[in-house]
Amino acid sequence: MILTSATMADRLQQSASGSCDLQIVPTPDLTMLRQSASSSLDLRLGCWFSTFRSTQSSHFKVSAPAREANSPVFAAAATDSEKAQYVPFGSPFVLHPGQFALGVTLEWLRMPHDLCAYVSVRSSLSRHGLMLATATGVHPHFTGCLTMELTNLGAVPMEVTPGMAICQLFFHRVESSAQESSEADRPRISQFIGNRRPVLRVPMLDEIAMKLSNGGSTPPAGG
Amino acid sequence: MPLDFGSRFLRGELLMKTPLIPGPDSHVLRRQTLQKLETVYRDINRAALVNSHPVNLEVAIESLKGVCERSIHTVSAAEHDTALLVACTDAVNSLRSILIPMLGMIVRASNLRLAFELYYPLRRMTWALFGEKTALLLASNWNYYPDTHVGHTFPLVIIGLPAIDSSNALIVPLAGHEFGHNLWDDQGLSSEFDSRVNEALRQVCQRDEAGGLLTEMLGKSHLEANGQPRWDSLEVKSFVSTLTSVVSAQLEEHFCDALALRLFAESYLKALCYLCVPGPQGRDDRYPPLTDRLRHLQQFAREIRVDWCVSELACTIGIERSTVRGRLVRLLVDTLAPAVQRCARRLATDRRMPLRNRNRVDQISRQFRNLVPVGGKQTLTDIINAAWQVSDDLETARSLKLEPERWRELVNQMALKTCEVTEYHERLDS
Repeated sequence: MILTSATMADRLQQSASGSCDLQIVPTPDLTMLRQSASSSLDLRLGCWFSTFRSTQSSHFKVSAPAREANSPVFAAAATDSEKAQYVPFGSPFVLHPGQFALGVTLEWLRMPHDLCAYVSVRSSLSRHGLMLATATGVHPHFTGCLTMELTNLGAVPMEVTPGMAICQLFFHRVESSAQESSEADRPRISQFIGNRRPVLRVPMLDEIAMKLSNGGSTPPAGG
Repeated sequence: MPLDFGSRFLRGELLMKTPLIPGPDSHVLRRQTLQKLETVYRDINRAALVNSHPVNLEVAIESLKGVCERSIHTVSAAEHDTALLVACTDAVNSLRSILIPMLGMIVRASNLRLAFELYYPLRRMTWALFGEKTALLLASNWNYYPDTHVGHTFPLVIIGLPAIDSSNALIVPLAGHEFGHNLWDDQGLSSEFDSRVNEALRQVCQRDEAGGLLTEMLGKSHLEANGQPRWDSLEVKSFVSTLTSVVSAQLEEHFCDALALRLFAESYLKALCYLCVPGPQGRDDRYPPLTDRLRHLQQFAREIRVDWCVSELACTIGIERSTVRGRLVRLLVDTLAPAVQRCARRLATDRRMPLRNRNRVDQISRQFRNLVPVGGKQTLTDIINAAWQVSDDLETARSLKLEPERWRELVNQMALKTCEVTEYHERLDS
């Protein structure tokens, strides 16, 4: 079930009174949110961006065994092409046609155990060619700023400014078991949470993918 | 235009006809000096083209260009060998002590290792301390310690935070100490305290508090029959002058400590211990030993009701054996330190610098423990004090199954986000 703006406002208000409910900092104007009578919440563009530059590496290995991906040397090499940029409020960031960059939301979210959300670009921007990764999911217990994948698919450079409304969140209620509800207040930590800058991590091969990759080298027993 | 002199020189219009300077010919000397200056000038222009352009960078760039242009002009226009030699010497001194170090600061001011969110609250502090619209350049610094550039060459306050820690919000209270050096200079406190040091020395001698120290240092030939120094003898004057400059330099450090403690409360003590314990060895005697700094800070902390959160170990580690002069310096510094602390406190209060608010710190800490930054407007002092409180709380880290390093990083992120959110609200209200 998608939450209405009035329900979102109620839940944000509850968290202001100290409960561990949905929290968004800076908190949106709750009166305006109620009046909007919509089913989404606008989020603003933050000040940090990541762009990508040419390096001496011949390619980027999009997946690596977990052990390799977790090593600091590998992680540093894999994110070598990333170039962070800080754009203060009032200054523009220009996204050129075809350019891909990572941005971040100004708002820091803390999702409760019973809500998840989907992010989509504001239609007024997408009509000019600005694309965000589609249907990015925000899971229960997530906390931090959302990293957004920005691409300009238009034919002309596009100027975006920190603080502008850039995307919208659609909140959904999550069904949870009694046990999950009892552990509701405890935040769960993953490598993607708690960041104020765009996050770029090395995708890891999971156990199944590892077995599939290595399976051919060992003949099956009894064969 | 000053650069015209450079091009006129390149066209040979300004070459010296009769080289009189020993070593390189005067025209070679002029060419080499101009070459160095113009290389720096080009680099200053290049520094303006960076992508991440911190506010106030242009103020620093314009003033540095001014210094460089004046040097180029003086070297190009020198008409005879003596003037040229003086101009080239000045230019090289300027390159060594101002142009190159400052160019480094400017280049590092846009380095992305910096936590740019700190810029806005620090600029607020700069405005409150030095007047509305005073420019601030915040840079990272390839030194272990934070640094500042004090003087009237640049119309801005320049703070360099250690590069290794420049994205760490927890060490920002050390900028309070660097503000102190700028305020000491801005208020002309050096000359005021020089005379008080002199006065204190005479009183110490009259009361015979120095015991045998003066005899030991000056020798009996420079003392009157009553044991008082012969104040009008050249040796005694030179001794007093050196002593005054050392005591005054140490008092400046105590002033800066007191200002930082008044501005940042407990978080300054924690940041100081993080960076300086075990204490720095081998600094000259113009710098007070860490144990003395902590002793005076403890006294001042009691006065301004700041909790003393420094371990016994930190207060005793690295005590050095004092020389005779060191003992006399300490005697004078101990006499005057309370006065510089009062002065720092008065200046901060006159400028309405906010005090740390315990309730606000507790509220922010609670929010950080819930893994959320704080909305609304918060003072930098409260944010950093809360961040120190929470980052030391490893119990919460354990309950979240986080390594201490990851926990501290998370707290740092929340502290910096809170600074940004404060900026957001202040901009909305302005």
